[in-house]
Amino acid sequence: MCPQEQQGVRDWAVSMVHQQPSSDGRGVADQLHRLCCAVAVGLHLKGTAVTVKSFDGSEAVAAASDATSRRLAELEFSVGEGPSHDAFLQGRPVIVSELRGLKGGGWPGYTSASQAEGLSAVFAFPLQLGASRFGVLSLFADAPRRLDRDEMARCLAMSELATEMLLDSSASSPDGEIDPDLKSALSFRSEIYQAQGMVMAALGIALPEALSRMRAHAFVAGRHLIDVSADIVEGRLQLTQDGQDP
Amino acid sequence: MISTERLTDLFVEVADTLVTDFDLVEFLHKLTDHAAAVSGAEAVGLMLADHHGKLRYMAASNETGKMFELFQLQNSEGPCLDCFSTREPVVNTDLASATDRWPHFAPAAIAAGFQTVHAFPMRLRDDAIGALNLFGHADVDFQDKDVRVVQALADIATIALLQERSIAHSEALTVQLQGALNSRIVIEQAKGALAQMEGTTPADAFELMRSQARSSQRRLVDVAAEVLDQIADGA
Repeated sequence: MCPQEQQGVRDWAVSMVHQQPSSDGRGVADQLHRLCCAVAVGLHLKGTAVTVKSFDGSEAVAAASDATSRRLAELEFSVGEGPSHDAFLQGRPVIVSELRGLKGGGWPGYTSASQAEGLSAVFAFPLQLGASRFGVLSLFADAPRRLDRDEMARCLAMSELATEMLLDSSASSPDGEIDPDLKSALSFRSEIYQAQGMVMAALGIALPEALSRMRAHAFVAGRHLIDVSADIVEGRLQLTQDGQDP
Repeated sequence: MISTERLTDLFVEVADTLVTDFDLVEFLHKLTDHAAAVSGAEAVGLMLADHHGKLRYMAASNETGKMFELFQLQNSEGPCLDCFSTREPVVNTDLASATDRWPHFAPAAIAAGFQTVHAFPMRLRDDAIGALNLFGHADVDFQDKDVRVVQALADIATIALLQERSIAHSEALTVQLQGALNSRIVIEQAKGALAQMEGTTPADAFELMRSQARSSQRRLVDVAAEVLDQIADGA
């Protein structure tokens, strides 16, 4: 892959989501629904779903491209096992290119029940940012299926986009609408995550909230998140409880 | 220049580690330690590529190594990035004559007391999946056989990624990389949180978690996740 192509994965994901019709045009559920449709269309899949989970065991299907996909995602709740379950716990994608004849998969209930729904292959991508895990993007195929490198990159770009949608919806902003033209908020730099941990501990707030406080500060101050993060790590900047940061 | 005795220790340890379910992040950190020890380099860093084809910091033998990995990412220039994009080693580059090539990186590295820099690609078939970076003083000049040894270390890092679970298909490497990259984020979050709680530096917090992981024989990322859980619960 040349650098141009790689840079294009995110652009591809954003433009695919944009092309999908919106039901009401607002809110994270609508965004995720459009994303599910975009993944299904863009990767020629039977369907997709986003499941939102928490470690305390509560889970819900936040969006699905179609009714069957929603049922397939819900199936994992009832049998208590499956690929999205594992992807969430392990913090990395789970790839099942062919369910039939799956040996030692550890999901006897899921395997038989999902095949009865016509499922042949399934891919589960965790929606996470370090220790913050929000849920899983599940992809369903009705024939055995492999994902090549480019397709994997596209799935990961979509997962990142879905993670950002969930991250923003967990922020205090009541609007919750992300600007899809905005460059990725997540630039994957060590300093950002160290600062996030520091703000979490200093203010006694959750990790996602710590990041959204940092982003808000950067936005208001007209600075880059990475510079704000470096200041926090170096002790030059302390975010305060009331949000009135110096 | 490469120490045969240290090399033997290294291969014994690698063989011991790679046979079982092992701690990938800790392994890559140790590999950078070993690379520094066998080559005489002052600092060694390792970066892995994400699905955008961008490098991300993964491990380093010390804070200086880490700092210069991050510096390259910040300024989008440096030996690691060149080596990654060309998939060819960068060997014995004299920093003093590299200020045109790396206008930000070279002066900063010289200011930190380095004279030479080397970078080796982590190659898998036709791809590069990361790079190993060595910083040294003038006397760290690699001969052909040294180049082969350090390239072998970079290859071991690649093998470790492939090894953690059996890699039968192309998707599996991406799965491994994603797991490793996310583990790194968990560890950085925990370093920050622990440093804040203990009133120490993130570097010290990291060593604290590392020794905890060693003494309790758990993976570094699991210790980091637990640290975050405990701080969140206490909050």
